[in-house]
Amino acid sequence: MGRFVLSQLRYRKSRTLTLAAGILLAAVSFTLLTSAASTSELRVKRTVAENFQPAYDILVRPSDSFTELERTEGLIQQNYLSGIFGGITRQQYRDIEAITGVEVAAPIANVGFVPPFEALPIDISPYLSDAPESLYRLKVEWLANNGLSRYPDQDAYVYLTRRDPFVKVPNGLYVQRPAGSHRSYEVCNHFYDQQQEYGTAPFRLDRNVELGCYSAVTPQIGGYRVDFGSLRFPNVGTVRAAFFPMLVAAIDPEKEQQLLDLGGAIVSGRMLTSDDGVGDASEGQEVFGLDEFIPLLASTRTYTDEEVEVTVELLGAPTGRELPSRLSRSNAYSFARGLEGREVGSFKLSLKPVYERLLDKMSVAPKEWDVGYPGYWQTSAVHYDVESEASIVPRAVRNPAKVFVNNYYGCCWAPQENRDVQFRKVRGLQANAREGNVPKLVVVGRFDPGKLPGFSELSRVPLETYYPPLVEAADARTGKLLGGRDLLPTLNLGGYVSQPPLLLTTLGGLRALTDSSKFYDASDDAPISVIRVRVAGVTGPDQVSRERIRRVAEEIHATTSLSVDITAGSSPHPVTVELPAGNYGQPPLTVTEGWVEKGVAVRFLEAVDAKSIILLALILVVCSVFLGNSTTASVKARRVEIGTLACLGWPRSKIFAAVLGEVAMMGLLSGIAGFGLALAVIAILSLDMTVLHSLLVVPVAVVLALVAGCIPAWRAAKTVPLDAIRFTTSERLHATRLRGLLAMAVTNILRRPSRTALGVVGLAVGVAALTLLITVNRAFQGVLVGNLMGNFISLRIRGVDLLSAVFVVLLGAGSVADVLFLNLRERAPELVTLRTFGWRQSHLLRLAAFEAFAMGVVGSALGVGIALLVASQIQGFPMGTTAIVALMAFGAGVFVALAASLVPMAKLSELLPTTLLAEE
Amino acid sequence: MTVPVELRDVSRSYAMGPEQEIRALHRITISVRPGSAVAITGPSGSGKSTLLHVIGAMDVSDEGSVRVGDVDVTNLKGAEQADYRRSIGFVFQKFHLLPALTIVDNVVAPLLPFRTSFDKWSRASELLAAVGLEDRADSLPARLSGGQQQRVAIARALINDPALLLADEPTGNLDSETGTEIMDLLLRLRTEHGMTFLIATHDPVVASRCERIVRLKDGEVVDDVDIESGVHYDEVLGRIAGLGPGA
Repeated sequence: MGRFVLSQLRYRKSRTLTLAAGILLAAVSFTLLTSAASTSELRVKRTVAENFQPAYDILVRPSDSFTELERTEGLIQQNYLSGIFGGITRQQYRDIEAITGVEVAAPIANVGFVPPFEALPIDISPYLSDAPESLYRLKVEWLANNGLSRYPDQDAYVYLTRRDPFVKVPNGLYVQRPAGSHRSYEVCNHFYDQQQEYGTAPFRLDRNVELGCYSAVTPQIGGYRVDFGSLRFPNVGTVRAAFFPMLVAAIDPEKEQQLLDLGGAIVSGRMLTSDDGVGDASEGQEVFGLDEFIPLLASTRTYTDEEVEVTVELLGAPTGRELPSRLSRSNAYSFARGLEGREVGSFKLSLKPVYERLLDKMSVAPKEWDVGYPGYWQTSAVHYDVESEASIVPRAVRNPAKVFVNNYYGCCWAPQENRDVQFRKVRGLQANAREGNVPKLVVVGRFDPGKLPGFSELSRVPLETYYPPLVEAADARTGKLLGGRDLLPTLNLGGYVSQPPLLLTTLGGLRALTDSSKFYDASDDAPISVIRVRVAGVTGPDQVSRERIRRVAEEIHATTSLSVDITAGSSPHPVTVELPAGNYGQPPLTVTEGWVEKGVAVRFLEAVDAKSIILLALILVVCSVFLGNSTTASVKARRVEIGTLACLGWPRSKIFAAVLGEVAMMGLLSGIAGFGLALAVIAILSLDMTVLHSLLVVPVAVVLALVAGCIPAWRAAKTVPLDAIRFTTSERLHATRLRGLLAMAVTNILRRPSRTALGVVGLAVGVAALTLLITVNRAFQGVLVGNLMGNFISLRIRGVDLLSAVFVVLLGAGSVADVLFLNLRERAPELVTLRTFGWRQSHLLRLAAFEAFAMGVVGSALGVGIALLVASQIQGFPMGTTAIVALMAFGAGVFVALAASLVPMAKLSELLPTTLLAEE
Repeated sequence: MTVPVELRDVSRSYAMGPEQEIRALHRITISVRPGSAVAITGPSGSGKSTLLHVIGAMDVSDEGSVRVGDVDVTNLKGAEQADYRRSIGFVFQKFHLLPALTIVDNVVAPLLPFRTSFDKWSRASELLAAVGLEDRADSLPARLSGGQQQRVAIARALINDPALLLADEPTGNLDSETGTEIMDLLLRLRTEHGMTFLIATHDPVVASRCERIVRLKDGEVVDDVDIESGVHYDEVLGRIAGLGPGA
C-alpha cells in the first residue's frame, strides 16, 4: 500500500504538487493567521498595559470648570489648568487625602501672574559712525509667535559726540563744550520740551521719546541713566524696561515629590518643604507695615517665545556743530523726528537674560529683596466655538485697558503683547499699598522641568504645572509660518497659549498672596485649582485596578461634589484649533493640540477581544473550505482510476486507505516545507511566534489534510467499478446553443457543477472573509483612531492585519486556480482540437479568462452576500462600512479569479496539436 | 476551389530519450494535383499521420518544404499557422468533438471566435444536412453513435469551405459498414466542394476508393501509384493488405 501511495505521488507529480501547494498554503496560512491574530491582540494588550497609567489616575477640578466641548466629546482640554484660579477648598483637599485608596493627592493652586520688570540695555556700539557728531534713531519692536507678531514700541534717539567733552552745569545738567571754547550746547536738555512728561495709557506708548547723549571724551558724564539701568560710553544706546509676567502657583512639595520626583529636578538652591510658609523679612528693620516673604522654586525654562528687534538708523543730520546746536533748541524733538534715516544695522535680543536677571534679583536674602510688582493678574479659560467637525475656534474676548493699569502704581506694567487679540478674560488683583510692601517673592531653589521623569507619550496627560501645552502646526502652511517650531506662550496674558507656572510656592506660602488685606479681591476660601490623584494598587488595565480607580473617583465626587475625570487609560487626542489672525501681523494659524481622550484603554481592550474571536472564526472557515476544496477536487479528478482499482478488485477499505494515505503524505511533506516558509514569513514580518510554534505547521498540515481528505476518500471508496466507464459521460451537459466565447466559457464551467461549485464556494468564502476581515479591522482602526495610543497601536498591528488579508485573498485565489487548473488539464485534448481548427493561442486565453471571470463574478457575488448576511447577524457590526468594503472585495474577488487563471493559462501555451495527435 | 500540395525532401524525426531518435519521415517528395484524392497508406508507425500533420501545419518538418497552393507551410509562424489551419479541413480518427457543445455548435466551433461575412449557424445547418444529421443539430455528441460523430467531425472540417481536406484514419474507429458510409460521404463532399483530399489509412478498401495511393514504410515512400496504372495499382493494394512481395 505504501509503495502504491508513493508511486502515485511520484507518477502524478503535477497533481501531487498542486494539492501539496494547497495544503502548504492552508497550513501555513492557518498557523500564521492564528499567530498574526494573537500577535495583533498581544501587541494591543501590551501597548495598552505599558501605557495605561499616566502621571495621575484621576483629575479633580472645580465643578464649574468643564467646557461644553469637554463634556460632549469625553475629552479633557489640554490647557485646562491655565483657566482655573481656585475653586477647591483646603478642606476638600484634606477630605480627598483621607479617602481610602488615594495614594497621592497633589494639589495645584494657581495664584496669578506677577509682573516684575528688569532693564533691557540696547547697545548699538557696533553700528556707530566715526563722524565727530552723529544722531541715531532706534526703532524697537517686540516679537512673539515665532516672529509672526510684531509689536512696535516707542522709538529712541541717541546722540554721540566724539570730539567734545560734556561739562556738568548746575541743576544736575550737562552741556557739550568744545575744548577752548566758551560756547556750550545743551544737547540733552531740550528734547522733552515738546513732549508730555508721562502718559497714563498702558503699554508705555504715550511716554516720552527718549534721547541718550554720549561723549567719547568724557564717558563719565552723560550716557543713559534711568532708575532701572544705565549705559556709559563705549556702550552706547538706550535701556528699555522689560516686563516679564510670571505665573505663580502653589503646590504641596511632598506630594509633587511622590507624584513626579520634583526634588530630582532641582538644579540649584533647595527643594521646598511642607514647612515653608509666609516668612517675616523685617527682622527688626524699620518697615512700613508687615514685611512678608514667601519662598519659591523657580523654573529654569520660561518656554516663552519673546524677542526684541532693534533697527538702528543713522540720521542725516547737519555736519559740524550745527547738530548739537539744533538739539539745544526747544524744538529738538521735532527736528530729530523729521530727519531722514539710513539703516546701519539691526539685531535681536532675547528676553531669556532678562528672566535670569530677575531670578537672580529674587534669589537674595529676604531683607535685600527689591523687586517691585503692583499686584497680579488672573486669567480665565479659553472658550471655543465648534466651527466644523474637524476643528474648533477659540472665542476672542476684549479686556478693558484699565485691567492693565494699576490704581496706585500707575501704568505700564503689562507687556506690549497684551495689545493683541486675547482669548482669556484678564482680572487684576491690585496690591493694597497702604498695608505695606507686597509679599517678597524669594527664590530658594531652581528646578529644570526637563529633568522631570518622562511619562509615556501615548498616555500623556497635561502637566501644566511644569510644561506649556503642546501646540503644533496642523498643516503645511502653518508649519512653514512657524518655521517648523511649536507655538509657545507669549507675554500676552490673555493669549491663546498659556505660560506654565514659573514660580512655585507652598500652600502655606500661598496665604500671603490670597490675603485680601494685601491684595484687593483676593481670597483664600477655595484657593486650590486642581488635584491630581494617584490611586493605590493600580498595576495596569486589569479589572481590579480599573475598579479601584473607579471606586476612588466615585468616592471623591460623593465626598466633595467636585468634578472628577479618570485619566488612567486615556490618551492624547489631537484637536485642531483654528487660531484667528492677530492684530500685529500674525496670520490665521491651524494648529493641533493633544487633548485627553478618556477611557481609551478599556475601549481598545474590549474591541481587540471581539476582533480576535471574529478573526479566529474566519481563519478556521477559510482554511477548512480551501483545503476541503483542493482535496475534493483532486480526488474527484481521479474517479476513473479509482473506479479501475475497484474493477481490479480493491476493497473499499483499501481504496479509502490509499486515498487518505496519499493526502496524509502530502500533508506531511507540505508541513515540512511550510515550516520553512513560516519561519521566513515570521522573520520578515517580525511576528511574535517562536520556532516551536512554527513547528506546529507540520501537525496542522497533516491534520488539516486528513480532515479535509476524509470525505473525498470515503466517497472514493464508494466508487463502483462502472464509474471508470461512466466517467466520461458523467458531465452534466445541457444542449444550449452558443453565441460566442463567453457562452462557451459558461458552458464549460457548468459541465462540472460540483467542481465549479467548489471553486466558487472557495472564492465566495475568501471574499466574504476578506470583507468581514477588512470591516473588522477598519472598525477596530476606527476605535483606535483619534488618539496617540490608538495611532501607535494601529501602526504596530497594521502589518499583521494586512498579512491576514493577504492570506485570505491567496486562499480564495488558490481555490479558483485549483479548479481552473483541473478543468483545463482535463480538457486539454479539446483545447488542442480547437487549435487544430485554427484557433489562436489568444482565443484559448480569452476562453480561460472568461471562465475565470464568470467564476469570479459568481463567487464574489456569493461572498458579498455571505458577508452581508453574517454582518447583519452580528450586533453592532458596521453595516455601512461592510457594504462599502464588500463592494471593493467583490472587485478584488473578480480580479483575483482572473489573476488566478494566469497559472492554468500559462499551461495552455504548452498545448500543441502534436501533443494531442501523438495520442492517436 | 482546389489546391495542389507539393512536398520536397520533407524529413521529420523525434527524440526518444537523450540518445535515441525515431525517423518519422525521410526525404519525402510528393506532388498532389489539385482536386485529386490521395490515400497515404502504410503500417502503424510508417509516418502517415506525421505526413498529414506536417501538411496541416500541426507539426513542423525538420527539413524540406511543404507548399499548399500559394502557402509555404514550412515557414509559417504562430498566428499564421492558426490562420492556415483554418483554411483547411481536418478529420480525426477519434472525432474530437467537444462534449459540452451541441452538434451544431461543434460544427461552428472553428469559427466561433471569429467574425464571418456569412451566418455561421446557417452554414453549419447546411453542412449537417449534407451529412444527414440536420435533425440532431441540438443534441450533444455523447448521444450520437460513432459514425454520426464522425459525420459531425466531417461537417466541422468543411465549415471553413477548405480547399484541402486531410483525414487521418477517419474510419479507424468505425465498423466496416459505417466506415464505407463515411468514405462515401467524404468522397461525395470532396467532389461537391472540389477539394484536394488526402486520407491516411491502413485499410486497402478505403485506399482503393482513391485515385492515387502513396505507400510509406519507415518514413519513406515505397510505392506511389495512380489508378490509371492498372495492374501496378492492384499490386500496391495487395501489399497494403499484406499480400505479395514487399508488403
